[in-house]
Amino acid sequence: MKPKPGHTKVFWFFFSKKNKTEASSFVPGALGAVLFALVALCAIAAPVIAPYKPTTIELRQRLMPPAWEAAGSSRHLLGTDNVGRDLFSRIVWGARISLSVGLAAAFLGAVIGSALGLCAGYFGGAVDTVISWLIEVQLAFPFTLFAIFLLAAFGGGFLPVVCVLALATWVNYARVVRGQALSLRSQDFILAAQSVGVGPARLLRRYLLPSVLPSIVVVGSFSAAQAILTEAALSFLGVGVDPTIPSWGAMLNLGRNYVQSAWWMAIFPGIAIAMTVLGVNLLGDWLGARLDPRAR
Amino acid sequence: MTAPLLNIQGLTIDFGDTRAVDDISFALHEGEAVGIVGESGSGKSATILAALRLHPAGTTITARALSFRGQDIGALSDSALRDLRGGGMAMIFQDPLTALNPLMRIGNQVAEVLIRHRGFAKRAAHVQALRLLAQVGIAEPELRARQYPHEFSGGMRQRVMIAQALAGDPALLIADEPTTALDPTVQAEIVRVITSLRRERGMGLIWVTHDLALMAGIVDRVLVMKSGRIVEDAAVDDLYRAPRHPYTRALLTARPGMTAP
Repeated sequence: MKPKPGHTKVFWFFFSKKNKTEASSFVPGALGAVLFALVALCAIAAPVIAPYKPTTIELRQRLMPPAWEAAGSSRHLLGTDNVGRDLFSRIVWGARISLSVGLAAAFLGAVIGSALGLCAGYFGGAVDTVISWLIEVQLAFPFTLFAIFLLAAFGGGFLPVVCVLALATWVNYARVVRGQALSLRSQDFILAAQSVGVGPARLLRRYLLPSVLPSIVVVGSFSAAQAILTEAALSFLGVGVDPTIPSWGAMLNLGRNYVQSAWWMAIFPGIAIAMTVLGVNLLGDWLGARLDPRAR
Repeated sequence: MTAPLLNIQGLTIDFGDTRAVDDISFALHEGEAVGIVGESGSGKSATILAALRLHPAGTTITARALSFRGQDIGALSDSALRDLRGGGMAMIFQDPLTALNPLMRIGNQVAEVLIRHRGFAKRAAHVQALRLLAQVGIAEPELRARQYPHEFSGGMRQRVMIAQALAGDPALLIADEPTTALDPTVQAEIVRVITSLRRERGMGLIWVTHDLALMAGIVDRVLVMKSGRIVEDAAVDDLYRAPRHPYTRALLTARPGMTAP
């Protein structure tokens, strides 16, 4: 389940014109921003929004269907799980884990991947050979398996999960950035900067990095989406951040056992994951188009 | 006699199996202006890029001598080379539309050279950058310095390139077809800016072009290049009056509306 760059572009191709003018990318961009803002709001204001604590157990209220079902109650909007915890509250709290892990992993991956990609593309030669080899090794690994192994061996927790996910996403950046740096390296403005004595450190930071930043943002958006999905998968498999903190993946796993009798337990966390990933992707595509001053 | 500003002896440049420049020699003295004329592919650009060691990867360069003020350019360390680029020799490129960093403010692009080569502090560098922009004929430098290259016309960008090249106070300015990409009226303006600033500062100048007629009034001496060799090296007036090499005569007559004397 690896999202490919621009797969939302393919999706929106049917709704918008091929060229990304401001008008045609605005609607999906705004939708993405709204979705992302909703999730971010849930994550930040979880104690205010959630009507219950995510860990409050009410055994008499267990397996209550959503409020609009005949057996539902207005006290539990999205129903309750097998031990009577309010599903809506758990999903709101779960946004914290998904978003913080996803964004932190995408950011850490961006820092590592962009730095390596820039160096590989700009310096070429042996530096490029080594970094390209690392990229290929990373891509050849069945990543989820590797992540399970690492987390099972060294234990879970927020930081280990973020690091493992960054390990999954850095290649996305490195590949794209390396390719762009390679083509930028021979452009006139780089040559002109060299001709007035601009050194490599400054060239990388002030000339190449700003030029590849829009791509980094786009890659970052789908990498964040990928990290959110993988975090959910890891929680689903029980090697996630922390089993006592509600996480969408863990909720999905729990709901799996009740799909026949209590569909809401699996469906709503699933919808939350899907909407977050869609929102992040749409927002990233739109930002990528906006960030390039030459495209304005 | 002191060492020439730029001394090139027996320079040969190969791009893989293709010989771009074949055993050329010339020397340029302090304050002298030389034009290098030739058609596309005659090795003009390869020669000047080699002088700055900016040749693309996969290029082989051999020379008996390649020196700036007696310093062997080939033996310079990376940091000494960066001091030379911009500080000793600076270059103006053919296409001003692509030669500026599209994502950096104009003022910063000039200021960074001042900081790098002249030891200016950030704030002082910006003030000096405004002065340089005004010198190359950019109106409202305070406003323009805050803008990005895409807000400038081609001629204006070429002026910025000149300001940037002059910022390091180089002893030699290399102009690689600086007017080719510009409108004729703008061309004349750019020529005027470069020649007057050169006289003011007593800079050496290498002007690369395929337009022989442009050379009069800009340079003292012209090197005519063809297929990687220098076929004629003459004072500019002599060249116009009595071109010796048939290729030079062909170049002089190649321009529409001009006839060989």
